[in-house]
Amino acid sequence: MSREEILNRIKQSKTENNLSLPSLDIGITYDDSIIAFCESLKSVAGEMLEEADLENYIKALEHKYGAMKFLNTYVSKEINNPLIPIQMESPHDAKRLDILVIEGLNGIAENGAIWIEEPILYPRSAIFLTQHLIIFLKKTTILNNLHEFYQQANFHEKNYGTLISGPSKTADVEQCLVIGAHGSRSLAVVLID
Amino acid sequence: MNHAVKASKFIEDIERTKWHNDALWFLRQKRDRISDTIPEWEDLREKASLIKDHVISNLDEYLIEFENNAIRNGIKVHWAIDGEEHNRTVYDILKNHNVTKVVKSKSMLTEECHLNPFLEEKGIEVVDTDLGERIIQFRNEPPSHIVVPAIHLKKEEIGELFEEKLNTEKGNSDPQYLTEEARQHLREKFLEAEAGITGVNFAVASEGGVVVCTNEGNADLGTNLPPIHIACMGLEKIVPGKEELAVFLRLLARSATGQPITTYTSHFFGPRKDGEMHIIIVDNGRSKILGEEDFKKSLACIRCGACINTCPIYRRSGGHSYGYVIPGPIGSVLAPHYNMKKHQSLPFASTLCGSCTNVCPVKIDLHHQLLKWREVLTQQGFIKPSKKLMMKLMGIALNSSTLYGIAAFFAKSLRWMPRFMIYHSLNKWGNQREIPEPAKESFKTAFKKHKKSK
Ligand code: SF4
Repeated sequence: MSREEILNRIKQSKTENNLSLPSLDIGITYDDSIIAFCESLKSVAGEMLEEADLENYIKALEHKYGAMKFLNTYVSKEINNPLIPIQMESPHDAKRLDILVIEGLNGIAENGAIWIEEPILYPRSAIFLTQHLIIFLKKTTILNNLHEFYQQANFHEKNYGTLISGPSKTADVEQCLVIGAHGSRSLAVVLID
Repeated sequence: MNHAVKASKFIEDIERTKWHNDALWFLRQKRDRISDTIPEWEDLREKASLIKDHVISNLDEYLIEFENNAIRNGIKVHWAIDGEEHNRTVYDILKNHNVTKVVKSKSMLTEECHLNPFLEEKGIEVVDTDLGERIIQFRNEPPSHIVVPAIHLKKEEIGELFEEKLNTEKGNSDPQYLTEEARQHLREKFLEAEAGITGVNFAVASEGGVVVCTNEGNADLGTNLPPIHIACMGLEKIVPGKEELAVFLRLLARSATGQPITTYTSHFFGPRKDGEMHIIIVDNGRSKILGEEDFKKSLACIRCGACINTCPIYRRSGGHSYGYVIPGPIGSVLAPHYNMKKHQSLPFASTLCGSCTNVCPVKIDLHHQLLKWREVLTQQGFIKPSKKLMMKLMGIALNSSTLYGIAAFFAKSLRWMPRFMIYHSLNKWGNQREIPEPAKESFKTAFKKHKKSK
């Protein structure tokens, strides 16, 4: 069995020593982590949005990207919105999605990332197939840095989670930054109390 | 063909060389700019290095812990001693499910194992979904960089390629347009795929799951649509726990492209509902490197590409001149382990300036390892006699102050020589280079003067 062979080879090769793991009492902190979060989000091409502006924002999206081909959306939060919710059974159903509105669990100030984890009420694929992503985030959930995030995170019994920092992007053609690679073309965050 | 020969082909196109050089230097500058915003940056590198040292010396225990936890999470774990077993394992999983269409996100390991040709031969369609990887797959080329695999191409070439492969508009090479066309093309591929293959950035032992980082979202589409996910990892990808994961995630994207984090950092800690998840742990020579005191630190590499972006030789010779799946300093350090004869020129594809070591987020002593390889290659008789003789003469001159003085005098006199005597075909250093103005007085004279005046 290769498993035993590999483990044996490692045992023979490795040099025993008592190197212990370093303490991880580090990490940048901010006077105002909410402001820092907003700045980081902007730097990764994400947008901040007031809850009251949601309707106008969606109109602006249509203006910019053309009429939403399928005016379907999945809203996991009760919000006032002009969109028609759809049910998604299989991961492939999400391909009809124009806008997905979901809730994030944590925001991270140092990099503008937002944590989303299972269980979620929609297929995982929806987060990536949707043309546009809008995330509601409680201000109180914003942490300074990734150290703080992982210290408090509990992945027990969790099969999946993702940190999302801005809309999908690529620079694979001549290093030109293009927003909207495979995932969402835009990402807007609505901070709530 | 050795590196220098292939590199000289690359630099024939002066404009492209300049563009290539600038594009990579731009990445390096972005890395500098963002690392400057993190006051604890150097501390972070130090911690990362210490964590890796610890993991490398306890690798077997961590792998067992990882495996146990992964199995507990419902993931199927496989082990592969080499590339061939890795490929067979992937194929067996696919065959068991009658899969004929696979999407794959970026994985240097599967490149290393030559998975694509293996599966294609068996009649399975493999689509690389990272835009850069798709481009080079269309061109039937290996990547020229581990983070930006199509960095050797100009947009016009990509435009023409897409015209042929994706029927895009003639003469349109606008990056926005080309990316949009690729998006549409690859969405179809994602939707019809029956399995998704990904690499692994980090395997978290305490959690029994893997973390995959992309900017495009292709790993998530490739795994969250089809029901089967196969994650392929080199056995060195282990991090002990989630707290340690934080250290590496903070370093990776900042070092790679100057971003604070990749757009998507996805944690696959168990199979999807109604889905299956496999992890293949691959050795392929790594356990041997582990046994080599001078080289084992190279197993700490997180494949950020920073050493490649900063390397003056890489920037001016292009990734393909290395002839190994990973180019640049880290590639030159790894390649000779696999085939010393074939890759003997790579440890010499360096000025030993040390810039790679300075930027490496996990503090691998890259330029020291390159130097060490030169020593090993010399001992094993891989060095040309002419080079050996030169080294010997240099050694004698540098050891004797009189001889050094004479040599220095002659070096200065180069200034007064006619051009044709200096810039000729025998003097490779004269290609595209002017000798610098020598100092008015030698260091020795200046030092003596300075001492007297005190
Ligand atoms: S050797 Fe260091 S700098 Fe180079 S790719 Fe690996 S981690 Fe990055």
